[in-house]
Amino acid sequence: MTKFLILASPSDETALRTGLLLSRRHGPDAVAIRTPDELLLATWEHRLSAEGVGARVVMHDGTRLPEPGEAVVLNRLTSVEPLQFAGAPAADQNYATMESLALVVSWLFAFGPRAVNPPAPAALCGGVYRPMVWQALAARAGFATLELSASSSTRRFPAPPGHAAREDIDRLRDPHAHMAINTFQWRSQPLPDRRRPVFVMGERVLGDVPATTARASARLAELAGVSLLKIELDEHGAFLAADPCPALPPGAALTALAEFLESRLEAA
Amino acid sequence: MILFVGIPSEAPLALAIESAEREAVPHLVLSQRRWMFCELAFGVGAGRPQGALWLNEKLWPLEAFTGIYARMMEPSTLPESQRRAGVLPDPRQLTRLAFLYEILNDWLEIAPGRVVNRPLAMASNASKPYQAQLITRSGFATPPTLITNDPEQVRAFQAQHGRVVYKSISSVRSIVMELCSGRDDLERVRRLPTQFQAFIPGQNVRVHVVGEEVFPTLVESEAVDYRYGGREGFETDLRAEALPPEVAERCVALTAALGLSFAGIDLKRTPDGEWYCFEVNTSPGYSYFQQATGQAISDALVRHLVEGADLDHGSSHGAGRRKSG
Repeated sequence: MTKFLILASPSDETALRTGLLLSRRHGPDAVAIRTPDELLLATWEHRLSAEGVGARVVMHDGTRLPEPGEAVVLNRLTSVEPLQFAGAPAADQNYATMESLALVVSWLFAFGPRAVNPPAPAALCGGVYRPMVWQALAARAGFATLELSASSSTRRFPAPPGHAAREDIDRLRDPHAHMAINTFQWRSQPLPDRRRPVFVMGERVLGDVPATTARASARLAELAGVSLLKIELDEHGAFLAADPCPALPPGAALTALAEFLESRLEAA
Repeated sequence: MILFVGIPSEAPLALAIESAEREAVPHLVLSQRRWMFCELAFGVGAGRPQGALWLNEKLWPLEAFTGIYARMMEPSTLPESQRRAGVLPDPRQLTRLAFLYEILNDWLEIAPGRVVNRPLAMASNASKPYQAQLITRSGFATPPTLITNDPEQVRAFQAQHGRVVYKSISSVRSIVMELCSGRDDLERVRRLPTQFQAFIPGQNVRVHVVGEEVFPTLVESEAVDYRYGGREGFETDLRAEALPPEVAERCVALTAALGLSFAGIDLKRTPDGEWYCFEVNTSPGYSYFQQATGQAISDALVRHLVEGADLDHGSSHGAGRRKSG
């Protein structure tokens, strides 16, 4: 019987490594890894009634995915796109994508805290906030932060001295920024070359950080409504970025993730 | 001061602006049709969001806006973004408008004071069954629901419930239609899971909640989806109605539980006196109901926004806290 369901793209190494590790610890039948395409080609029966929420999802190969309450889900999908609408007009493609996303969000939400991370309608794997929102949450959690800002006009609102454009933040960039006298941009104090990662997994905080930083990290995950979170800090412990669907290197962090998923199974 | 953001001629925003003018409440209108003449900058430093808006040849500190009501359109849908007289708009200007839209949404998310409503909280009805799970927690019944791409399951569901309706799972193309029995095109659901619900008989009641104020409207219509009843030749009659206190309280609690301070809740009272909740609209087009019933929803909205000035602005995200003492 499947105890751990992992949803991930076929090239997701963290998902594959986690699946392998859990298979070693619980046997191959205890772990199922499914891709978004497989998920959307399944036969779905998602029911809501006075008796509760149920979901019978049967894959193309005839196997049945665990129902909410039967397993822990590690969801590493941020989006789903139904392949069967690939050739459809853009409006129909968008409709099919939104419908599929709405279904998968509801299904994952039914797993409660056994879905890591719990989904949100605006974010399938939960906690996908824009950088400014992360920044505000991090400040609330007790982190020092870089002075991140956005300006729709660098002429009207120039960057403070010592701040640099942050091209890593937004896909919306001025194609003529390099020669324009007025542009729009994100900016902050320069990003450091070295970043210190901290991982939050439930109540555990992994990383070589002082207790105050560990507490702020746990608080940030709580404010973001996630149980799995990677936080990047500079060498002084200032918040730089957060990722609720992090790539994990083999080793201690991956083992900790497996243990965290096991604890979710037991915490039913 | 209140900031209104969106298309000022759009009825819900227009009514709110009218209320603010009538009550002499200081306010500023940021029209999306004139975004090319406005500039915005803000940031989070030292734990506090701060910024400024350049509008009407004047600089406005963002912290001055203690209440914000926003009904923004996607910039790509604005007339300014369309081809005019055969000429495409400047792509650089379009990108700037999209940038402004995104950072303004960021500001709405983190701004101190009252924001009606914050963008992330508004996302709950992007997945109706997700929202239904939250609605159930507030004590309302929701209709028996099946989402499937298996025609056999649809037939069995219809056999079990008799009258069945179908509608979108997301907020896109959201029209409720009745599933006629014996349809021979049910195989089409194999292409994409579809949401089916048992038809609940009774009277529709639309409840607008503004903070803790409740404005229920009884909707008399024979149409399955009264919003589109006119297309099917049905008349719709709206009138203000009182709610049992416990139902009104549940509506206020549900709105708050969804992180909203303004919501349009679609209820149905069955002949047995049971209350079902179908959906919570997170950016309600209340003007249709206000104009038909005379309920002063926009006045309540402006009052609610004015009260934002009494909040503790040390809170940099979310609804803020009331000042003590």
